[in-house]
Amino acid sequence: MRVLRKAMIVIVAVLLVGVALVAYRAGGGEATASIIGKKSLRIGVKSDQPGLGLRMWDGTFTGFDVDVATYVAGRLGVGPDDLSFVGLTSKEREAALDDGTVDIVFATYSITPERKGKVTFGGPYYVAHQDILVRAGDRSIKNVSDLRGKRLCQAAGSNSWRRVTEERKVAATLVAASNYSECVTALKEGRMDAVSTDDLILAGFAAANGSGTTMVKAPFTNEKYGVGLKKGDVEGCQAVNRYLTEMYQNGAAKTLLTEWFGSVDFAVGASVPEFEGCN
Amino acid sequence: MSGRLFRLRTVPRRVQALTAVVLLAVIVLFTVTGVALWDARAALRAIGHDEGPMVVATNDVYLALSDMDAQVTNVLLTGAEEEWLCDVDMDGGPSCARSLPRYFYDIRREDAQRAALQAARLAEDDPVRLRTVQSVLDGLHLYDQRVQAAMERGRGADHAFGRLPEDAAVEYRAATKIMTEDLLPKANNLTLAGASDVEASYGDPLSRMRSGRIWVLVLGLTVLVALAGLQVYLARRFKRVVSLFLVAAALSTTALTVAAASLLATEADYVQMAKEDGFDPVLRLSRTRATGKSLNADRIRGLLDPADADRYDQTYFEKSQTMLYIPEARDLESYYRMLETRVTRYGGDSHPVSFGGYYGVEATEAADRGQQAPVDTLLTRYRAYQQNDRRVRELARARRLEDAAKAHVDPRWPFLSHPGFRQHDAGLDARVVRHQLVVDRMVRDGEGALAPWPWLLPASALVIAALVVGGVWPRLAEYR
Repeated sequence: MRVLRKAMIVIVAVLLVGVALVAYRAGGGEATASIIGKKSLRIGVKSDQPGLGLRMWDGTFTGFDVDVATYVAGRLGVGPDDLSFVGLTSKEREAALDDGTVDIVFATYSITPERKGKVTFGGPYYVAHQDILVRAGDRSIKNVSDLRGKRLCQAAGSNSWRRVTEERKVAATLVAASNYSECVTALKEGRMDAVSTDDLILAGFAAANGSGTTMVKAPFTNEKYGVGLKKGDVEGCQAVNRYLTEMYQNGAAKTLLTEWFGSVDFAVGASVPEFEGCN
Repeated sequence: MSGRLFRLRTVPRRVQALTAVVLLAVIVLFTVTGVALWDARAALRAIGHDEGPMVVATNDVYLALSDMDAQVTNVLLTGAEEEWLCDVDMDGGPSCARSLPRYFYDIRREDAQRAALQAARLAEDDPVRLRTVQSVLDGLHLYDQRVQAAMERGRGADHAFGRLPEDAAVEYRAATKIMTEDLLPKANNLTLAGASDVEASYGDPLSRMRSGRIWVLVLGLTVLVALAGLQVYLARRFKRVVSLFLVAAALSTTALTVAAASLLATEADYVQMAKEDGFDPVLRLSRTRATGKSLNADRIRGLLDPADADRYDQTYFEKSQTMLYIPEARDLESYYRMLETRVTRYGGDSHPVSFGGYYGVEATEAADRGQQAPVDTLLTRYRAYQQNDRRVRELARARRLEDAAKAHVDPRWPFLSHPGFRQHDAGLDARVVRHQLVVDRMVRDGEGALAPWPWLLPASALVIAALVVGGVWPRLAEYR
């Protein structure tokens, strides 16, 4: 009886100390909305870019962005069955993150100082370069200044043409098109001379359309494709960066890049890009 | 069952129970205090000894790599490959003089390796990061080989401040690719990962220390109340007015509670100062320095290898925007213009901060503290650097590449960067050193204040417990 009582006293004492410690340690660390610990994820991707994010006839999405997203989500502990992909246009991305339509965006989302004010960017997971697509056999265009006087495609909603005619002041003749697929078709039919946008996008088209077009391989910009997260999700951003590093280390990145763009002869980066930082 | 266990019918049982409550409260008080002080120690250690120095070390990797690359680019630009390749270890003594840039390159290479090893040592329980450090060290060899090849191919042709021979340019491009797309990004990512470690080992402990002070006060009060209860019971039951032992216990508890609570408050301040006035600016300014170096390298790369000049121009602009962000600037031309007016405006009386980026944060914090002068100097130097860059660019655009290259380096010592760049870089370095002193001082003071507590805390707990027991013992003895 006496022993039992002493044991009870000790147990009560230990419990009390334990409870006090747990209560103390639970203090601090304010909870912010994070992708960490979610059971399912809604992922924003492009729906009209072959090789990156393309909506198939059955409503599924395929492409490099989709695969990278699936990889990162898997490392975050969300299996492929718990992912839902949402097609986004360039304009919709910030709002979709902000209002919670999507949790995370992998949609050729270039990191820019303006956007960094509204979105927390993990990555970049790839640094693309703006390049030029021409008809196979066209040797008159070797770099961006050769676009002077040429017919250059101006795809609706894209800013790539500005890099040529505004930032570099190359006087190309702009020909409007509704999207890049239309640009490439027009290029093959001879209604345009060049299409200029990110090399990954062009590579996707060049691969998808067979041998009719070729890339000039004169990159003239850096486009950092970031992982868009809700503003302030620093913890999620750090986790994403860690898994992206790992993706490059274990060769998964190279496998995916080769899978999607390997048939096009251009140098894909196989080393982890320089991250932007999460704050 | 438990009712019978804890039935307190007899007086000694009640005294024992009350004593147990007091002792329990003492244990809880001292455990929580100990854990809170442990938090303080861990936070100081992270900033001052573990993660903090590691972040600085990884940033040193970045700086050393940038310096190596700058030497290479400069030598290729000025056509001084012969002296670079001079082999001083040759049998029979060298017949040539190895150039200063080569010595500097070798020294910085060692610095880079040493810093990488330090980063590796501190990251030993993180395989992902270790592999990154390893691949930086591996990449360094590949880089060396390309540099050697570029130098050997460039030595034959006379190309001082002119165009690099194409076969040398190919090797140089390969070397640059390794440096800018592999080594520097990895060094940068290591720094970022380390910085987030510091955040993680700082934020939670700090807020716990802040709330820990309240905890300690409340628990101290609990001990006092329990002691008072015991005292009152003893006074009533045994007609003793005060037990001196219990009074001593109460006084000790009060003293310790107050001391611990105020220590926690000061420690929290030390930790916060070390972080916000020390580590954060150190990291930010070191990163500014690193960005500044790669910015300068981009400019010179554009001159050395005009075929890729478009891309270097864009990264130059982006890096400028990282350092000092002007939202309205659309291209370099407008950036130069707006920089001029905004820096001048900051130097004025009211110090409005109309820019962002690293310098924006630095300027805002300085304005908050009312210490604009040092930041103003930095900004003036940054502006001077950009002004010189504008001149280099204008010369390059006018196809006067040789003049542009000469305007980029020091007019007297072509193997040095332009004085404008050096001043800017040295100014940043001086600020880094100053803030590092804050880290060191705060960590030293914080740890100094904690130093006696590992023995003081358990010892005083034992003393108080002994006093309590000492106060109760004679009363219990009356029932033996």
